[in-house]
Amino acid sequence: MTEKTDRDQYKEFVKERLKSLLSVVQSVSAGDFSVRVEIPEKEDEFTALSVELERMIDDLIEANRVGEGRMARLQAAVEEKERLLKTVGELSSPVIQVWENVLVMPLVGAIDSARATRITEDLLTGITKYQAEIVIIDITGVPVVDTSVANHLIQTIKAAALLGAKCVVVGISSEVAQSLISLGVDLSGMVTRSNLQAGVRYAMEMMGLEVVPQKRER
Amino acid sequence: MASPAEERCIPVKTDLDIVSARVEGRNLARELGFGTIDQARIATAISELTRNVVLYAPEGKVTVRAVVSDDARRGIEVVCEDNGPGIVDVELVMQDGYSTSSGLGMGLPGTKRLMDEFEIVTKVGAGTKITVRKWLK
Amino acid sequence: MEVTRIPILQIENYLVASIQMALHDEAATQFRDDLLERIYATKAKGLILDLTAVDVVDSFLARLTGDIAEMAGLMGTAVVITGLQPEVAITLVELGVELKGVITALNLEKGIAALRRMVGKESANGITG
Repeated sequence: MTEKTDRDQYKEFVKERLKSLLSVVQSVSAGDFSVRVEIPEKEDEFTALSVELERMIDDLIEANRVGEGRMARLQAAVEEKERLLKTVGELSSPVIQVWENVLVMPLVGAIDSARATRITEDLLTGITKYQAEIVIIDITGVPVVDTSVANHLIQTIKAAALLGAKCVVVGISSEVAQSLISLGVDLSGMVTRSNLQAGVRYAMEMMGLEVVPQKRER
Repeated sequence: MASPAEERCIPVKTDLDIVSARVEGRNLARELGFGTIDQARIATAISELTRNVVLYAPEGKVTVRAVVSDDARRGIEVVCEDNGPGIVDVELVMQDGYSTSSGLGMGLPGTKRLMDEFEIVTKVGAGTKITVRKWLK
Repeated sequence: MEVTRIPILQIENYLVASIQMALHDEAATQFRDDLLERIYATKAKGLILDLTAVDVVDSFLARLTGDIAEMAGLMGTAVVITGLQPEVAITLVELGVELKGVITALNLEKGIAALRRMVGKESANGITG
């Protein structure tokens, strides 16, 4: 009788200790670092394991803390970079003459009312300076093209038309175009092409120009 | 504390006064430091408002003055008042596309767009007073 | 009261009128009448309205140019507006005023080129004016 009880007692003891250790491991796995391993005063077979487990949990907590610090710094660096990009994009709306009477205006970054006015002014100045008749407005770099941006574009195009220049907008995907139309924006007056190359082709056509291969000497 | 030179009053009766008013307004705008585009906006707004006085009222006057806002921004204020019939339906008149039967619109929605602030006080039978302001950026 | 009239010049078969000063309504209306009279008298194929010196185009002037274009069109004359200043263009768009039925060009040179293209097309189509 006594043997069985001893063995049973031991089995109970092992089961209890394993159960408590398992519960700690499970909590930590689930991300809960608040649990602590119980280390009984009286040393037993599980003491070494318990102590190591406790140490491991402390290491994990420390690693987590370091990781979060790095994440925060990384986040700050990304935000700073985005701010800089935004500033660079907004500081100027460059106007580039790619051919006689043909301009390209690449737009990068968000466009709000204030920037839209600057863009229009820069565009009109460019049209006057280069005597442009066609302007390719590339909005590939504009992250969000919503109804407000579309309306700003329409205003810019109307102003350019008053100076005798036709505009073609490139960089609006067909999905964006569909959603703008379904939101009630009247894009009927706007000439669009899928990308800069198509825009240049349109400009050449409008100017009555053709690109032909050079004759090769044999 | 506006010095006399910073406030100008132009009586409005004939179409000649429309030009005078907008020239005065544009000059003041330029003196205050507004850029060419804002000068054009202000002059056009004054032209629209003054023309309404000539079209719809016996007479009126336009006052342009330099103003300073509560948060120390500098700007221009144009007050255009007349002793005309007043506007019966302000909401209607502020809708884009509104025009009287002769095809001459009152141009108020457009004027509002050109300026930063737009206030209208009108009383049927007593007249209309429109105040617009534009601030230096 | 004498109204200073705006000079109307003739280049090739086209009329060119350049507005050099602030037009009040009466002068503007007089100008429109002078223009239409001249078009009728010369049977000009084209008219260039040069607004280089105009610093304010309000709804009245916009409507006037629209009227000129329409009436000239009825007489078989093409109309091109040149020299709109950037600040005027921006203001017109913000004002919400459309220059209906009007073709615009940057300057006199481009205006004449535009007229030649338009008038050339009409001749090719056998439309006589």
